[in-house]
Amino acid sequence: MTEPAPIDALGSAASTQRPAEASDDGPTSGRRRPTARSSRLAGLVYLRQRLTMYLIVAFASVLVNFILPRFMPGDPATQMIRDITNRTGAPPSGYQTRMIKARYGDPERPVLLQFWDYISRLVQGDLGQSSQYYPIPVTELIGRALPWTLYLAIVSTILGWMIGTYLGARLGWRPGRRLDAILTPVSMFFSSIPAFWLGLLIVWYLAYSNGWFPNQGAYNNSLEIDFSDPDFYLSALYHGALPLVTLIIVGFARWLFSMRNMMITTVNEDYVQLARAKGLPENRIRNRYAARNALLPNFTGLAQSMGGALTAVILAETVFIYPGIGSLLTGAQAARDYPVMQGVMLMVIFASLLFNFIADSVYVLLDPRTREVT
Amino acid sequence: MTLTTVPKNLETESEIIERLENSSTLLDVRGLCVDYVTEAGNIRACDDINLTLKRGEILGVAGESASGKSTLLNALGRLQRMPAATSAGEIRFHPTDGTESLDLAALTEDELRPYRWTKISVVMQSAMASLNPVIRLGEQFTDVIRTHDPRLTQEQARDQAADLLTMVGISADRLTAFPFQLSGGMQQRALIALSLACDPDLVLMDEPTTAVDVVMQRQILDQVLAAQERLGFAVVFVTHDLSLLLEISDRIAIMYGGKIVEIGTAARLHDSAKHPYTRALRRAFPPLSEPVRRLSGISGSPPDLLDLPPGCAFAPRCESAMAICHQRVPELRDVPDGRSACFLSNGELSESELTQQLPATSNPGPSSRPAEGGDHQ
Amino acid sequence: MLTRFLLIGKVQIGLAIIGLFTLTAILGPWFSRNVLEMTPQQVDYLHLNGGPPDSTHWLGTTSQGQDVLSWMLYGTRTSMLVGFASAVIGTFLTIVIGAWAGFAGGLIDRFLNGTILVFGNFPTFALLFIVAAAFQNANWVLVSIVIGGIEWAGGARQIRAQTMSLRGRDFTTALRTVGESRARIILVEVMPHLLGVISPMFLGLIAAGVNQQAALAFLGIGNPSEPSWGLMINWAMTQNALFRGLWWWFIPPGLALCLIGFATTMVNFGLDEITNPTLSSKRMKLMRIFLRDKARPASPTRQKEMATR
Repeated sequence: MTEPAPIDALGSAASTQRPAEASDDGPTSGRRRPTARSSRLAGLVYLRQRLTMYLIVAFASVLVNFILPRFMPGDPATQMIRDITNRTGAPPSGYQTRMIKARYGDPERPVLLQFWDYISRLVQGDLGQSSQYYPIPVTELIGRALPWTLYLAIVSTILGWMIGTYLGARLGWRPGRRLDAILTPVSMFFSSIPAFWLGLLIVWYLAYSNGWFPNQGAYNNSLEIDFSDPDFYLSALYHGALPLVTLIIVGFARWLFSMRNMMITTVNEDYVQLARAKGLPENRIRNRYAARNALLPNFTGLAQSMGGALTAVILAETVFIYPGIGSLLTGAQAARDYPVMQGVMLMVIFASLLFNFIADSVYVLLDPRTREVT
Repeated sequence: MTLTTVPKNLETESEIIERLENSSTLLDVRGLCVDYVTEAGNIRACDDINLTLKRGEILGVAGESASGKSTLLNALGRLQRMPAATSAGEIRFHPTDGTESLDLAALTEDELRPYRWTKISVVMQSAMASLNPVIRLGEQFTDVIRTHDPRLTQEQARDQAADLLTMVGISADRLTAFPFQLSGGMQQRALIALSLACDPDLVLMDEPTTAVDVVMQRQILDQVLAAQERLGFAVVFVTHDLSLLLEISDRIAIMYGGKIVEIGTAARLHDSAKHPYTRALRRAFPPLSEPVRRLSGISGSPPDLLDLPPGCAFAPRCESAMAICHQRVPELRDVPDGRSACFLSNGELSESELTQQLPATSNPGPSSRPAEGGDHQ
Repeated sequence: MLTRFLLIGKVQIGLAIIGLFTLTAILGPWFSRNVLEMTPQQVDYLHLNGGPPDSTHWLGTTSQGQDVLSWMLYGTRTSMLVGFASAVIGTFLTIVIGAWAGFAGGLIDRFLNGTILVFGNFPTFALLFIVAAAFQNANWVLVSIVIGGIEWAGGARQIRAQTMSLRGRDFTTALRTVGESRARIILVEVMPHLLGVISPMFLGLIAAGVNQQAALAFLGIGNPSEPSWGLMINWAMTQNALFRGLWWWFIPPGLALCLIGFATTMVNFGLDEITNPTLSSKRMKLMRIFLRDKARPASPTRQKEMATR
């Protein structure tokens, strides 16, 4: 029923847990007992393949970003120049006009030349200027918002991962017990809640109805952003608490499931049975023999999930009116501010690909079968 | 291919019997039943197993796939995984250090832990699957050594591990290797070395040589026998390869359909097997040391444990089957030099009952029996 | 395989939930018009500031005096339409590309497999967002096409692998030597073997489609004249339902999304139990019962054993 995945010593379930691509061309597939030399090469070859793949994806998303406005109804470039003129009281300079047209379509210039302009600006880190806050560069807006989003995304993902993985290891060690019978269905339901809706419930109940938490912002607005001020940190923690809790509740369950199922499979492996036969203390069998191996797929999943986590954060930020890129994005969407929308989305895509690549590297590092040299 | 026979067989049958009679009991299994719990119903994979193992004895257990031999082994070592569970019976273990005997089947996991590996260790079929792929070989030795003897330092444990590896012909510097860096034969030998780490009274071996080639198989067997002779542990050796057991075992138990159908000394099973199934197995696996002859498989397929025939489980495939074989389950009874569960030989039926049964069969059962029994004498 | 899949309790619960919503999507608007005698656009001037559930408005009214139940019934239709349409499109692409790549082999396979990998590595929602946002007031058909056009890669990998293994089997080789056309072999001979893979995939795509549409609508992308669950939550939020405490406005659509998500989780768990029997909760339960029943008669001897030691 499942694909004929390579059965490596991690057990068959590794293939179901490892992200799809990796089971096809993962570093260990097809090589049951690689020599040290070839295994080291296998790891590098694998990483090079993955990198090529991500570069193609990155290029494809740039291409999509370039092509889309040219298919949009109406003429977005003219529209945008009009928007900017209305907002600032003066039309943008000739150079600016040319750049806008290069980005969003210029009937008078060959498409390839426009693409060249577009790409060369992009490579220099120029995402254009916001039409909504003209002439603030998109990169500056993203730069202001990104730290908050990364804070939410990274902290919530790591905490959710730790909670889920720990619980999953506990449940999978003794599946079918009472704790498992309660926690697994409960987290099944948690994992089905859309983050933005749970955020809405939490904000409504804890912020609006009871006033225990602030209903918007990332820190108390009467404070300056001052990294030497402990009050600033406290305020940021206080304001970030609800979004974090929301994201953790929605996010921990998937780690719980994958760890639980991986653990159940691993516990049935011969090497865990042998550890049991050896009479080792139970917690050593669980932690060193079973969980250590069951953890591998969850570990790579962690970095791999960061892209998805960014999406959840973007949606949740909207609810909590949190000044990250999610709020930036919804604001831009309402004002039809294409440069910002495109810039944010390109950024999200690049970040996801970067995290994916980190995940692949971590996998190569964690599994001695792809790394060890003797 | 010619292979030398193992020195073990220099001991004559009577010497083996005498040695076994003089040594005290190590393991006494009474009425052991193991079930597989499935949605379709419980499958009894081991049914009312009774056997006795003496100190230092090598007991072979043979049978086709699904005969319950590996299930039995796992039950003895309390290593069942879901969905197998021991449902009845007693596994009385008499430690060689003279401490009081105990019922392995009744102990909790915590009570059992101190006896694991120090008294009973296992060698599993696939070394590659049994060694943890992400833990270095050395640690997989030292952790068990130090768990059972916490007084040892890490260095002392490591020295012991090095000795064990050297004993099976693996250089001690492989301790830092990960299992995947060893060849298949080396992994299997490392696993055997590991099983001896805490000087056990009993080593359970589940087809330890199936996954390696014939030459390596011979080498591993020789090492096991040499180690056994030196350290004196008992062995329960499970395999489908009867001829291999005939060479190395003191006694052999034959399993079919979850039951032991015959048990006896290797020489007796070799020369005058009482149960038709044993004889059929003999013909399917000729010893390597014998001249080439035509092989015959066993017609039919192993029984469906969910739907066993009412009588003897082997009756549908048995060429000597009588009417009663399809109606009543024969008991495993004492016969000279062992036990058998076949009406033709176990003495359950009186002489007159037996002659009454015989004409009812279409097969010329009685005439073929002595002929086959005397086949190799 | 398919029947075993359908016999698992978790799968049945999941299917029942999806079935119930499908039924609501079909009959809901009719019920709203003819039984409740209301449409989402209709304004009740007696409840202009939003009222809690009562006998006329079973789920209360919005801040504009519109009936929440009526919104839910019409919204279910849009949400489920997007779910089904995107699942049909996605499954179609999945099968065509996956089976084609798996069956063709060679250069075609390398190209298609590359495409599958590229699409599989896209952060789906980001791509979805840019594409959908580019079209102003995109209607449900467009949203479905975009979702379906992006969500097919994961399934295509599975189908490709399955087809590759089927291609090597005797019966397909035999058919090819007889001279059957490739399309016919794929459709008539191979497809039935893949049903067990395709059906849970289709269910998963429905839920994914519903959720993606909700997320888009929540961010304000889509046609505001098409009531949907996501749009309800978006309007509730932008029109200060939180501040005013109009919880009956935003709780029902969210619950519906939860149930759809829950249904897929159930189906996936059921699927895991088939492919990996050690995960079967039924077995775990049987085992527990067996051990418990066994433990009872055995306990007197156990105690004796403990006493002698």
